[in-house]
Amino acid sequence: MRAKENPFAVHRVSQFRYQWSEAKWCSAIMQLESISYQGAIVGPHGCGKTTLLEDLIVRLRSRGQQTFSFQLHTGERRLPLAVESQFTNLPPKTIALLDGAEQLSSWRWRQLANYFRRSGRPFIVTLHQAGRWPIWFQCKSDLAILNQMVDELLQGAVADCDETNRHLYAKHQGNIRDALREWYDLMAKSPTALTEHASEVATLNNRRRLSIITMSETA
Amino acid sequence: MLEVQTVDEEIAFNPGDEVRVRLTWDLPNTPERIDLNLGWHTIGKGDRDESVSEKIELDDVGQEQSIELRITLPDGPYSFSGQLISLIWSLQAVARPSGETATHEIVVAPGKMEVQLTEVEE
Repeated sequence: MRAKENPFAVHRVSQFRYQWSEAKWCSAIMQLESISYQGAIVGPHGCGKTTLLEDLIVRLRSRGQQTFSFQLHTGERRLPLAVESQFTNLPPKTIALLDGAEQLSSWRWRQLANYFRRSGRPFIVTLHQAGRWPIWFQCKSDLAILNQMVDELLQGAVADCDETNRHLYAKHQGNIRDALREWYDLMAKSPTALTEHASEVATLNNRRRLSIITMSETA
Repeated sequence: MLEVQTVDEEIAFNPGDEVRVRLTWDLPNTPERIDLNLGWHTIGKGDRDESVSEKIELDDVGQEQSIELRITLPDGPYSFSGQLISLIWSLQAVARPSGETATHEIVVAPGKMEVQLTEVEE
């Protein structure tokens, strides 16, 4: 299957957003206000922290609030100098948001956190673990979320995905993003490989039926 | 309504070809301008990459209009498609300030054929 046809291409997966009600958003933002916009979204890899942060930015901007955000990727132990300078020279009410704050070295984090603690300026981060910054929201991984996403992305093109989802969810230890990436690879491969994978999953689960049975029709 | 189409409904072109583009709109409010972007983007397993090759801004447009434009396509990159990534060229019209958008995908490659990336055997 070609990339542009793959249901698990990034542009399709990234269309999934937090389905919070207006009331839930109001309550969540009120809670943020109560902690002076100094809070962390905490959760393990691939559970939706970045998605929530992106959604939060849209919400804040729609309320007329100014934001400045930056994302650290794996292995980036410090902010680029220009970005660090921007973070510490923002207008007082501009909300600073840092995705992947756990990447910063302890020393760099302490420097940045101390600046925001002392100044009392708004600073929202994502972290894998609690402890570095007050928790605003804790993201949890859930197999039901993976099931729902896969169902919606495949639109019934592949029958009985739940077995594969269970296998991938366990294999990636609840990392939904990585499970979806593996789904991408499964779809990209030939129908034969998919059938083999289905067979492997079925064997692993000591079952006789294949969990993916209609892939050849969609490839 | 906002539409962008190629005249004669051609969808595949050679690099360097001149493309005749028809823009048609009938919008609730008269737009300040209509932008026509020619660009490409990638889709696939990784993050999206994109580039705008040419941008034409049409000012003083009416509420309802149809116009034809000519755009010369660049030499590359070619439209291609593989298992991990596809590169897609498109014409995109955007009404300002409403942001209403219309997109028309095209192929830009030698022989007017999208390059097919195949798996290399190890």
